[in-house]
Amino acid sequence: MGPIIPINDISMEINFLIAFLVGLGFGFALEQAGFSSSRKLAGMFYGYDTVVLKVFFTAAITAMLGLVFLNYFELIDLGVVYINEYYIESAIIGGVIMGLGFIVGGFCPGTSVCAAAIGKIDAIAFLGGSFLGILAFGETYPLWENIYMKNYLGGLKLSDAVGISDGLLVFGVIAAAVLMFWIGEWAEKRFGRPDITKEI
Amino acid sequence: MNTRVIISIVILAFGGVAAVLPGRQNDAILLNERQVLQEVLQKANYFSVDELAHLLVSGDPSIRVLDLRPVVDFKEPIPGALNIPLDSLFSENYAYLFDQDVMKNVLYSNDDQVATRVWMIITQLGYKNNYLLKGGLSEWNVSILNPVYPGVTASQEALDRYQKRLAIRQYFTGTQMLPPADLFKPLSPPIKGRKKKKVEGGCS
Amino acid sequence: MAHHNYVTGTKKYMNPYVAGIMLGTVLLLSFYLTGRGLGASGAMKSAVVSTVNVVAPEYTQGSDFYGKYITGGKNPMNSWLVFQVLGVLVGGFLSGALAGRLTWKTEHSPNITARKRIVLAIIGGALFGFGSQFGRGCTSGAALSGMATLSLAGFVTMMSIFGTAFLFAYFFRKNWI
Repeated sequence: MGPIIPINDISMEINFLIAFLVGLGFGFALEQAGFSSSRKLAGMFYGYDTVVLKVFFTAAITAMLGLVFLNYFELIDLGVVYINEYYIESAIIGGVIMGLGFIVGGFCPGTSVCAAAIGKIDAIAFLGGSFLGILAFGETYPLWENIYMKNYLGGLKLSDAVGISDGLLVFGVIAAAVLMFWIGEWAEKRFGRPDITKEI
Repeated sequence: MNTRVIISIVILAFGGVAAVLPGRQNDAILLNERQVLQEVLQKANYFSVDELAHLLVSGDPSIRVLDLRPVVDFKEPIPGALNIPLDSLFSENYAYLFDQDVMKNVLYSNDDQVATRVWMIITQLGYKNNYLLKGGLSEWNVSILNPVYPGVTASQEALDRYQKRLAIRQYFTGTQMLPPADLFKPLSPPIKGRKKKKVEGGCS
Repeated sequence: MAHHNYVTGTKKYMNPYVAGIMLGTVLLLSFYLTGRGLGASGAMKSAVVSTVNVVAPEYTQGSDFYGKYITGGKNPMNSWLVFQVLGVLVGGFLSGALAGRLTWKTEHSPNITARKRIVLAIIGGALFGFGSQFGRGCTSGAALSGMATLSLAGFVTMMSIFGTAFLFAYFFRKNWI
């Protein structure tokens, strides 16, 4: 029964080795999808390339479905799986700042590492900038501490918050994703920029 | 058919199945938490009221009794107990009580529940030398302060325990209560010296 | 360019849906093996905390923010996410090598200079780094992994990131299109 490592008390070294291998797959998939190109990522927000939408939602849905089925067949204990903790204010404020960073910088931390690996200099700059941003947060933490800690709701699941089963929520996300994929491909035709897409 | 149509059909199909699956996600978790709780509690070190009473009578200097009831309820505690209300448990004033390895803290509240919870928290924080008083103050009041004569037919063990409890009660409260006449034989003397009795399970 | 793409054979990048399934499988594997999803900004935080710790150890100990990552002589670099991000670096490199995409390059719109692109990348990175600390995770850790576990935090962070980016896209269009 999973998750294997926390349940079986596996050593730190193996855990780190697995972390590295998981990261390897993560980086490989990101690069193959084209997330190592900032202009491809930014295409999402102008409609000429919606690869971000497609990859992001396909990945999330694959993992969601996997977790729901693994749980159903009692192959994973979802009680041990980490559920992100919800602090209303900090999640929204953090998301807004990150969204701004995305449109200005063209990457997110994971994709910048992946892009830096194949020699994108703008990604290395983004990576450097993110260190500065984290440092800035650390230095000014006392100013934010109150709002950072406000309205803690614990590891709350959307399905529990709405009061439906996990499976039903996953179906809802899938229906929304199918619709968005359709809109995305329509947008790629409508706002297509062959001059950009042939370069990236 | 392009990839989008294929992927849409496949995920909708899987999603449809997922939507009608009965939600059972919480079974495993609850069982697990219960198991963890039981495991932790099996490792818990208990003092029975009798053991605690003996240690107090013998003046064991390494025993510290902590009363976890709220300040307003802090009446008629176990003699020598220190009152630490729950809300100030983790204030810096009291940190010295737990962050040490000389004294043995015996925790109690009215019943087992509050003290057990506190015990679990401080044990998970890594503090050692903390014990629980089995049955809490209510058990102390019943067994030590108002012992019940077990009856003539009771085992010798039960009778001995009763006698000891009477002696201890006298020690703590000064009340004399003559035991039934047929039990009139010399009481076993209180234990002398620093006898530290350990309960099963080990916490060095 | 005459590079041959060993992975997809014909096309430049993998089909996005196939790549998404691959990414989702990695994510699911991560949950199944370790009980946690993917992440990136956590590793960067570890690097920042270690650096600050080397420069000013006493200050770091006393700080409410840095202090919690180094209590009890912990080395912040000894963390799961640090190793995972090293994996991302190597995985990205392997993929780029196989697909013939390894080049030093500053990617920018013809409307702006490479220099401006670098400055914007640094500013964007700083905003993203700051926001990821505020929001307890970035697109991978909070939005993607959070959504996969159906956590409310994941959905809110995802909507917040993409919603804001869409909202401000118009004002930054000169930099991209």
